[in-house]
Amino acid sequence: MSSDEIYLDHATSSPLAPEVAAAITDALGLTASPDSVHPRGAATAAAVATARAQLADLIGAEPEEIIFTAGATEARNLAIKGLLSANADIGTNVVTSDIEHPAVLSAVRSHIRAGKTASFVEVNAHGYINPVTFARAVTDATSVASIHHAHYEIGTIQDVAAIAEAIRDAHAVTRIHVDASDSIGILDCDVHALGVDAVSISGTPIGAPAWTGALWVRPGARLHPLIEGGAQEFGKRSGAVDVAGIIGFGVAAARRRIDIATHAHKLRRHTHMLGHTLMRIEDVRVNGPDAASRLPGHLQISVAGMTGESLALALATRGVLVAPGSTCTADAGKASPTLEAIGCDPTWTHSAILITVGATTTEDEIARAGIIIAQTIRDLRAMSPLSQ
Amino acid sequence: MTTTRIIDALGTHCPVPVTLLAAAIARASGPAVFQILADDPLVAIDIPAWCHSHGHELLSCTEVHGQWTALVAFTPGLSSADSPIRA
Repeated sequence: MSSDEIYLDHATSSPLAPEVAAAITDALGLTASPDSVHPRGAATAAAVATARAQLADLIGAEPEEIIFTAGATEARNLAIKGLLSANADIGTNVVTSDIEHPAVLSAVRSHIRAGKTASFVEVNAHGYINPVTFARAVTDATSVASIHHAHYEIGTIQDVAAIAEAIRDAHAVTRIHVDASDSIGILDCDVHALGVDAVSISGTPIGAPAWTGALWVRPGARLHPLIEGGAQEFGKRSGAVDVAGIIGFGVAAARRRIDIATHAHKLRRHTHMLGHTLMRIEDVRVNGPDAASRLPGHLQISVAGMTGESLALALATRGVLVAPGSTCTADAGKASPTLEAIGCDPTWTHSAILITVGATTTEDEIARAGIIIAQTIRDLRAMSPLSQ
Repeated sequence: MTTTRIIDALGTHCPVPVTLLAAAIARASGPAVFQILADDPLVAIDIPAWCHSHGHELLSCTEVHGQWTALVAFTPGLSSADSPIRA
């Protein structure tokens, strides 16, 4: 990456901290499988066990409750499909919100395609889920309810404990999955404080490789694996484990456990500064809640008169790297489903860019990015027929 | 104090439930009761047989709607916890 570039796409993938990169590099020297019974295997197994304990510490869990996956998308799929399959005796209905991550919504749609039922709960104009409304959608036939902790696009932070409590009041056995893939390492994700049965996690927000992920599952919640054939990851995710990625994940978790408060404060300050600058431009809106209530580090803006893709590409030519719309549908050229769900009209749903800052972002970069983004918007509007 | 630990072996097939139980016992640092959840019918044979051969006490093994729940007591010194199996 050029030193002049300003990287503001940390939700997609974030530069590794030097300690994390070093741990991964060192781990590549572990040649034996952690499943092997010989001493080399035991050394690898011990390193993986340390990483599991480090991640468990970050979320207040026991190491045996952690299932490592290849990224958060797999963790979300494992949670939804695994809980539905193993808890079919409770019922075959699943309840979720309109604005979940595509990995959650796709897993739910597969459930519908298999002839089962699902309910999608609406959110308000800032993306908040009303606990009472959500709980009303849960029935005696609902085996799984799935919500996010913090939204992957607009950064809305849900009151997970209140939603879980509202569900449990009437339906104690319904399994509750929380997608904490964007909030881990930024917000407190203590699994017991959240009061749920399963939590999906990504390595990205804590400075681990984007291909790392994990699922925490409450003992007794009952989960079927997606990948079968062995006893790896307690039988819930068979196959050779990503030793180097897991070790890097563990080191990143241990570092973040120490600096989570200062890290979150820095991210919030940077997105607040940038949002303040960009909001002074005519016909620019920040999507989601205000900066104080939003996930630190997330800033999604919509810019009337252009598409999100054109703005993101124009910014890339000027050295500012952001995601169009959302990180997960960047190449689709479609309106953001989340922005449609919170009631935005096409002026805003097609014109969004997602700016995400990270541990390596500097105040100078934020100041320069504000100037470049503002100038790029003016330049595009000057040449765009949409703005005439 | 004896703790109860849940081993969710649901969705796995022979020999994984026994492998998971052996690995959990190998990690145990004191007296414990392991509750194994499984839906492979072979656990009704495998778990009692493994407990017998390794000197662990099988407290119960019951089936409800195709899901088995086995309770196994581990007491350090009274049963072997030297399995090299890891999960």
